[in-house]
Amino acid sequence: MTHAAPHSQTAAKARPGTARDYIELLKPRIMLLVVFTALSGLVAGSSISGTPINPVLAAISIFAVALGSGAAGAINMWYDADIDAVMTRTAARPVPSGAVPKDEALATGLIMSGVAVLLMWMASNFIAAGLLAVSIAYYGWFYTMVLKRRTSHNIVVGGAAGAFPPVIGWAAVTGTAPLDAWLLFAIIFFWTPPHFWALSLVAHKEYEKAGIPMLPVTRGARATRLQIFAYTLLMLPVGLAPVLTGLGGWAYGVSAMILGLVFLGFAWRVLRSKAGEPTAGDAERKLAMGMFGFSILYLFGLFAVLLAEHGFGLYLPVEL
Amino acid sequence: MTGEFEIKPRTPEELAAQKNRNVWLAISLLVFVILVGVTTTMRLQTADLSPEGGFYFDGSMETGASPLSEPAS
Repeated sequence: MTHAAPHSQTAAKARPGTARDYIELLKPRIMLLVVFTALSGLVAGSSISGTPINPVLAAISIFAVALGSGAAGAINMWYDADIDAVMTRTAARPVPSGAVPKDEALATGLIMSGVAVLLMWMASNFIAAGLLAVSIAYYGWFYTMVLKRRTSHNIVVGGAAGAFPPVIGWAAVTGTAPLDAWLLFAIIFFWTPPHFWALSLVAHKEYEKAGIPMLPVTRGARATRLQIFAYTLLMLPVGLAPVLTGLGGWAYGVSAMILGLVFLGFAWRVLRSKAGEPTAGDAERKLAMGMFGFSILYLFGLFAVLLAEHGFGLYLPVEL
Repeated sequence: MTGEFEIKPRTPEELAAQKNRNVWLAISLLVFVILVGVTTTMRLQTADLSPEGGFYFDGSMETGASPLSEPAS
């Protein structure tokens, strides 16, 4: 396997970058999910611990999480500019398209990292700021620079980076990170591999072209489909665990069960399909993309119910 | 001093993009200043600024032994 030449100049003709390009640099779609899970963690933490929320400081804390997410995204785009230029899906990103110079992408990421951690520390506490700093470093350095190009387990280990936001949100309002917060971490951690591998079953040729050792590239489509099913099977009880600790009520429990079973159904159908195989047709591609799309709905759904239970008084405890 | 730096003429499209970036950079800086100001104000409102508060400066410069404040023997 050959990697794309690190940090090679892209062939794309430079176009003048606008503010929109700098926003794209921050990966706004990922930021949305990060902000939402952080908000859910913050509201659930406040409700469970009985700590009142100062709405202004809470809003600034969530804003700091968004900035941190954007900062990590900018660092990722700076480092991955060479492989982004090779893949059709990412070739139009701000750095490979020439809209944002590489040095500016790095500077944006580093400055925003500092601002995000500083704001978080000012608005909340040292623990939340420390966790935010760790999560930025985890994604921007550990996942992007260490794991991504070296191991097919990049998504499994790197998935922790996206799992920090609810813990940060929880810590921002309570100053602690108890078991319940780490359960939310675990949900996202176990959700990440099936989520990304469903996409990689479709985009594996792109990853191969860029020399990224994604699971379908190194171990093949069949092993990937098996791993998707295994992780989804693990994710189902992890998704239900908040009910056992009292973090999730009736609405959460029912939602987690229904959404989890549908997710598992997708994983089962993908397992029995030829998705990712050279002979796979349009139906297999649609199935894998359907699972990818549903995985986003699953995570949004779980955290939305958690937010509704703890933020809008819909929490009905499950008597066990 | 010779002219080592040559300013490349910019196209109207590049100038418009630069102006767009500058405006957003200015807005971002303004937002940052406002956020720091609001956070500091809210923190100060709830802070314990009494001498017993511990963390904050209590207004006294004479706490602790200083060689300069030792009486001459």
